[in-house]
Formats: sequence, C-alpha cells, structure tokens
Amino acid sequence: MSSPLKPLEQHWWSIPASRYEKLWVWISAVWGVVLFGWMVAWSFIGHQNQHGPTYRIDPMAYRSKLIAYREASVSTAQGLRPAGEDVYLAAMRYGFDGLPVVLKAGKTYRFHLSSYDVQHGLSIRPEHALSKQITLQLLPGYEWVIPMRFDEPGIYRVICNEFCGLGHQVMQGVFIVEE
Amino acid sequence: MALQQVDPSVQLNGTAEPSATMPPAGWRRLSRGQRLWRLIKSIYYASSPGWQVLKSGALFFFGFFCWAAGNLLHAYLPGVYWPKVLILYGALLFWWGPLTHLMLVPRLIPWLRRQQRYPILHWLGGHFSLTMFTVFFTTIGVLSLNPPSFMVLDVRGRLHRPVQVAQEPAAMLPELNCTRSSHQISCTLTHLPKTVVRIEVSSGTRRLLVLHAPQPTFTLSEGDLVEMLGTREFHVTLYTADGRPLREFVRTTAFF
Amino acid sequence: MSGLLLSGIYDAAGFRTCPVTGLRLHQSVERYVKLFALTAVAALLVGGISAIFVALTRWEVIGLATPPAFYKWLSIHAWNLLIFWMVFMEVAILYIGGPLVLGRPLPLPKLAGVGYAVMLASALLINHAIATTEAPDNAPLLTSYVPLPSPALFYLGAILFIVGVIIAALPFFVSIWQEKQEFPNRTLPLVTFGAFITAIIALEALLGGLITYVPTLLWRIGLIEHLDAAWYRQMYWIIGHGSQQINLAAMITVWYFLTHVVGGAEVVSERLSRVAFVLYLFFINMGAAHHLLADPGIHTSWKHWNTSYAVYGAVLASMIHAFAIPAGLEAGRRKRGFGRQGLFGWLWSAPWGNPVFSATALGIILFGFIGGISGVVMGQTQVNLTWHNTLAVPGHFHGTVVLGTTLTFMGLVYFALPVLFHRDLVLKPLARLQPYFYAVAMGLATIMMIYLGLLYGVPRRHPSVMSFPGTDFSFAAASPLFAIFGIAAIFALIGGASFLLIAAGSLLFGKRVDNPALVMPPLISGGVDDKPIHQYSMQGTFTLTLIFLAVFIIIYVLNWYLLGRLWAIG
Repeated sequence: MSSPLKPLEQHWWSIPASRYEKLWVWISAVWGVVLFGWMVAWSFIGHQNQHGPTYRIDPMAYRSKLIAYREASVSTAQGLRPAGEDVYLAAMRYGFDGLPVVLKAGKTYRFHLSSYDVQHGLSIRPEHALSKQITLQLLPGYEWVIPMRFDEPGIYRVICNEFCGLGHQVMQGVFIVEE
Repeated sequence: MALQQVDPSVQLNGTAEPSATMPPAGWRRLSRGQRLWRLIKSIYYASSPGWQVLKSGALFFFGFFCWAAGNLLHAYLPGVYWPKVLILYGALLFWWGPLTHLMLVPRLIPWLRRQQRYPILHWLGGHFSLTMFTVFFTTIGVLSLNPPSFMVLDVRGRLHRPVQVAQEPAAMLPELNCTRSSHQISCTLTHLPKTVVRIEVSSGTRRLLVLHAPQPTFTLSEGDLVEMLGTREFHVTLYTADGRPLREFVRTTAFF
Repeated sequence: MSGLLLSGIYDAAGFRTCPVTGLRLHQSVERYVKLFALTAVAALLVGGISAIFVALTRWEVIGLATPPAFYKWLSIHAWNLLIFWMVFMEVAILYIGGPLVLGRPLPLPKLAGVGYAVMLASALLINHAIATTEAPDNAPLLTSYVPLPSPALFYLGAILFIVGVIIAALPFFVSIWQEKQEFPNRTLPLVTFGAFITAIIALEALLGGLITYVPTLLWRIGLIEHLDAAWYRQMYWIIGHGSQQINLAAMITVWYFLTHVVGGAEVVSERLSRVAFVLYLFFINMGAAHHLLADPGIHTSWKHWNTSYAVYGAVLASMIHAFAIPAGLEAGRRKRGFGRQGLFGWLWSAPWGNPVFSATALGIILFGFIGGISGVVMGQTQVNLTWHNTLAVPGHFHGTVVLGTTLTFMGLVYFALPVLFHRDLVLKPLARLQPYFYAVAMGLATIMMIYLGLLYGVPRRHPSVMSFPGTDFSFAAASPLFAIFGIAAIFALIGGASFLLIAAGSLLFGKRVDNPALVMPPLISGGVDDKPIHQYSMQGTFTLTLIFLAVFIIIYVLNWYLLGRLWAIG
C-alpha cells in the first residue's frame, strides 16, 4: 500500500507514475509557458501596460511641480486644461490635487502620479460604464509617469481604493474627456 | 457514520444499469454522438446524494458565472447581441439546474414512472431529460428574441441624470490653504458651499476648534497640535446639516 | 479542562495506538496538538464575530459599523482569521505531520509551551492594540502600509507573534532531525515531507516579517526617521504572501492525510507529489511581487518573472497536487472495491455523509475552481490593473483561505473530535449538512465579491460606496449584487456558527468514545496489493482536471479580452 503516513521502502524517485498524471504534468507545463509568454508578449503588442519611468522625489518638491503645472494650465469652470501633454496628479488626505482636469479624447497624455503623504489607490472609471476601471498604486516619494490615451469621451470618476485614514471614504475626484 | 450506498440508477429507457457511468450493452455499435448523448443522459438521471449535490452545485455556480460574465461583456460591448443570450442562459440555469437535480430527477421521475392511469405522465417519466432540455432551450430561444432587461445589470455611476458632458457643472470641492508663520498657522477655505454648517479642527484625539456656519478662515497655534513621528498634524472636517462629512483634510507641518 | 487534553489510555512510555489511523502517538504530542487546535478555533470565533460587522457594513442596506469602527472590525477580522486561526492550526499540523505521524514524542515540550504562551499573549496584545486604536494612529487592517501609522503596541505584538511561532516550530524541526539521526536511510512519509516543506516556507516568511516589523516599530517610536513606502511593501509581502503559501502547503498536506484516512486514498506518485512540494520550496516565495503589480518603481520584467513564480513553477506544483489528490482517491477507492465500474463511481460512493470527507472534498473543489483560478488570472501583470484593490481581491482570497483552507481545517477538527478528543459529534444531522451549507453560502458570497469588483469596480477596504459627499456619483448600481452578497454572508455566518456550536458542543457534551474507529471508520486498509497503485484507472480524475482546465482557459481569455478593450495605458 502506498500510504502518505508510512515511510517508504524504496527511494521515491524510482516509483513510477501513471501515464495520465504524466500527461497532465505536460499539459500544465505548456499552460504555464502560455501564461508567462502571453504576459511578456502583451508588453510588446498590447495597449494596456502599467509601464513608465519612476523618479524619486520629495513630496513637497512634487507639490511645487504640480503648482507650476497648474499655473501653466488654463483654469476653467470645468477644470484645468493642460497646456501640453503633461498632466500632474497627486493623491493626498483626502482628495486628488490636480483634479478636475479636462482632456481631449484620442490624445496621449503623460500622467505624472504621486502622493503627498501616505499610500493611496488611484482608481479610474468612466461614469457610464463602471466595469471599465483600472487602479494604480500611488506612493509618497515616487513620481510615476505613465502615458494614457482616452478614446471615449465622457466623465471619468476617480476614487481612492487604498486605506489612507478616516477620511478615505470621502475621497473622490473627476476629470472630463471631451471630443 | 456508515459508508454512503450507491443508489442504482433509475431505469434508462428500459435498460438497467448498475452504475451511472458504466457503458451499457451494445456500446460498441453506437456512434460517437450517440455515446455522448447516452453519457449525458446517464449523468442526468443519476440521483445518488453525491451526484445530486455536485450536479446542482456545479450548475448553480456555473449559472451565476454565465450571468455575471454576460453582464461584464455587455458592459464593455453594449451594442452587441450575444452577451444578452449568455445573461439569459445564466439567469435561468442557476435555479433551473438545482431544481431539476435536487428535486425533479430524484423525486418526480420515480413518481411519474409509477403512474399507470395517465400514459402521458408515464411517457414523461421515461423521456424526462429530452423533454426538460427541449423546454429549457426553447424558453431560451423564445426569450432571446427580446431578452428581458431586468436580468441585465446597470453599471452606470449616476443612475438618474442623463449624462451631457457639455452641461457638466464645475465639480469644485472646497479647498484648504494654510500658511505658517512664527508658530501660528492661518488657514483659508475656498469654494465653501452653503451646505456646510459645521467645521471641526482636531489634532489626534484633541478637538481644537468647532466653527458653526461656514467660516472661511481660522488660526491655530502650533503648540496645540499633537506631535507624531516628528511632525505635527491636524484634521479639518467639513460637516453638512445631516452630520455627514463633506470633505476632510489632513495637514502636517511638513506640508507648509 | 485537563480531561480534554489528557484523555486516552497511554502505556508506560506514554504512547497509545490510534485505532483509526494506526499511528502510535505520544501524549506530549497529543496534548500540544489539542492546545493549538483549540486556540485556533477560539480565534475562529472572534474572527467570525468580526465578520458580522464587516459583511453587514459592506451591505450598506444594513450598514452596521461606521468608520472608525469599521476599520477596526476589519483589522480584527483579518488578524484573527487570516493569521491566528490559520497559524495556531498550522503549528498543530506541524506537530501532527512531524512527531505524531513519525510516532515520536514531542521534543523540547517546554519550548512548545513557551512558543504557545508567546503566541497567545501577542495575539491578545494585537487584538487589544487594534481595539484601542485612536487618532493619530490608524487601524492597521492587515497590511499596515507605511507611512500610515498604526499603534506601536500593534507592531510590537506582530514581532512577538512571529518570535512565538518560530519558537513553537522548533520542536518540529528537532523531531525531523531526530528521525533522520535514528533512521538515516528511511524516507519521510509524504505527510511529514509536506509538513517539512511547510515549515521551511514558514521560516522564510517569518524572517521576512521580522525584517518588516522591527524597523517599522523603530520608526513608529521615533528611532528611525524615515521609512520608504515602496521598501515596506516589498518587505511586508515576504511575510504577507509567504503566510498564504504556508496555508497552501499545510492545506495540501492535510488533504493527503484526510483523503487517505476517511476516503481510502493512496499516494499515486510519490515522485510527482514530492517534486511538487520541492517546487513550492524553490518558487513559491518568489510570489510576493504579484501584490506589487500596480506599483511604481518596479521594472515590468521583474513583475512578469516574479508573479509567475518563475514561469509558473509553483503553479505547476499546484496542478500536480490538483491531479494527485483526486487521483489518489480514485485509485485508492478502486483498489478497495468502491465504484469499480464507471468513470465516477469512486467519487459518488465516497463518504459524503461524513463531514470530514465532505468538508475536505468541497474544499478541494472550491479552492481550485474559485480561489486558484482567480488568483492566477489576477496575478497576470497587466490584468491586475482591473483587479487591484477592488472587492474582487478579497473575493479571491476568500476563495482560497475560506472555501479552501478553512473548510479543510473544519474537516480536520471534525476528525480530531472523535479521534483525539474521544468525543462523538453532537447534532449529527447538522454536522452532516454544515460543510455543504457553508460551502454554498460562502461560495455565493465569495463570487459576489469577485463580480462586484469586476462588474462595478467596487473598492475594497471601503465602508460606504453608496454615496460620495459632494457628488451624485456612487456605486448605487451595485445594490442588487450587494444584496445577494449580504444575504449569502448571513447564511455563511450561520454556517460558521453551526460549526462552532458543533465543535464546542461535542467537546463539552459529546458522548465519550473510547474507540473512535466505531464512529469514524477508517478506510486505510482494503483491497489487495496485486498491482502497483499507479496502474489503477485515473480516467475520472483526468476528466475532472480537463474540465478544470477548460474553466481556467475561459476565465483567462475573458479577462484578457476585456483588458484589451480599455483605454490605452503605457
């Protein structure tokens, strides 16, 4: 009897396995290569990759950059209109500095993301389709620059989904993507 | 606890089978499709407790999965038709499956097969799987011509107002700006709406200020603030009339 | 109380032979296994009470707790269930897998006692620190992400708990060393081997915990000026995910054990099962980066390599166990004459009325289909963008830790009650039903959490998504699924409470059984050894694993397809 509770008489490596089990191991190994390979391939052929340079920066230095960006942008009733391709965002307790902002659909912007104080989660979705959402982690001391291009016009809602203190549940922001 | 006894399978079109998945006589003469149909029927009719539970459980979870996956696809592809059929299939399956395999197959079929008075009932007992599949898929076929909308989940973030981007009013939330000079902190609130009736300023567990009615400026003494990890911080909370916070701010002396 | 811990008839050397497993157990091992297991169940009770507040707050129709109470209850829930219920039980499992299966007395029992005392005291300290959290500290939740400060006593409690576990694990290591000294040419039984791998993975995780919590405590009390948020995340998830790998390895070890004793399973391939454990050892501690996939500062190549446990080395190991355990049951039962004909007769004829078996089997099925698949899919680097910090993440880990490990450990307790504690179960009809009831209710609540996270992007760790002040945006559209979640959670709470009722009731009021084999008939022996076990048919298992793979592929393709339809990122 082959018991899991008893020591073995012979060396375990030499005990044969059934052909179904061996076949399953091969299938699983191939599936593992597919899982890995597709992720790597997507980095080259896919359009959704959280890939962008990260810079170490003191939160207050980042705040100065954001203030400079705000001054260079046009301030409207609907939000900031960035002058160029850079959009600056900072999460803080408890809101998003740099929002609201008005963007053009189909244009690629460089989003600069950071936090002034503690860890926050940047969670974005269009208002009319809650299923389409992503989250990026925002850390104090790091500026992450990720290009994003929104093709669908609409109102996009931002909430924080990383616990950041007792005001976490009132944190929200908005940005508009227009034609 | 005694071992579970395997119930002999219910008579299958007149053929007795000792085990639900044992090949019946004449197996080799059947085509692949016929063998598959026989296997499906044998699983359908198997009604030992273990079979009942696992069949019902699998269909319950699979039905919910199809319903959710259909809704997810529908949310991403609102103009496409096929996700609605998947939603319909899942919404029916998650209760139809357990009902069939926990109730009907183990209890109704044996009763039907005992009926002598109405031959139609006896016939139904012998052709139950085919009848049920026909009813189920016909229902799906009919309903999929105009899929009912109550099964489709609404995934909008604002349910009541139609979205018109051009008319979107400014989403300006109140902002807090503070400056520090010689251990005094002066703060100003901008974009303060009239709905704010109370402002509380606290540091740690210490409540420093309570301002009634929207008052845009206040001053704090740095010494009053609780020290934490080398800085001093304070919280400003704006409350509306129903006592719920509209906006909260945390400021530390490192922030100025 | 001592009657509970010291029941049974021992010979002069302190041993007795278990009539169910045939193992020769020493009273020192039995005593500590029972002590750790009972403490684990007590933690389950505390965590279960906190679950009431967490679930019924997230279902905002009831909205039981408001912040800051909600965050405290969430922290209590996480620490008592994910850590204390799991780890106390896992120390018991180490003692079972090591000295008990090997038939040895527990070495250094005083060390086991010291470890237990430190673990218990620190568990109480952590609960106290969470309950008394006040501004400017914050509730730690599970992860206590720096630089959001938690109470200093909390960090101290975490450090002490880690030290306590290391101390309590030492007698296990000594027993393995003693066995190898006494029988250098004998191979460890599979269950012992699994426990040994579990213990090594545990040590790696625990050391990672010390690297995390000691500097964080020093930072919290002001001795270190600055702690980098990214460094903390990297260090924390060594113990954060490592502790989950301990749960996985321990659960699999218990699966081999229980399917053998009550199901009649045998080991169909020692080679593959042991290789799978060794793969865990090499690759599973690499998996911490799948918590950091949405983080800045980490290169994408490292994310791909690490989240895949090096081209899915550890997932291959799980797939091996996913075949080996049901195949062991199939081949073992066929050999013993159960359901010899047909594809699945071995499964339907299994003792589904025995809660030990049903809890274990349901745990295997639900862990694989719900927990395992969701984990691998959301661990794909780019797909993680749509899962990170949504309610789908707690959905996944309820699929693994609750539907998998908790159900399995419940089965282990149902087994231990007659076999170690010599108590027959009370409320037997309820006990027979409880694993099914809990599996369905908790399963429904779990898949609702996943669907809420994916269909609506509902955030985790959030008490009030139905309204955001200053805007009419909300997740109110998710109310129907939240209602299903809430009702399912209530039923799951009833299922969990039933388990605790049966366990406590049996311990206190159950009929004393001197021969547990009468109420827990073992299926260890049976059949003739005319052919090796691997030559028995495993077609039924192969069919089931192919169905599992098909579900895996469908969910995988669906997630990648939907990701491709989002806006362009990066």
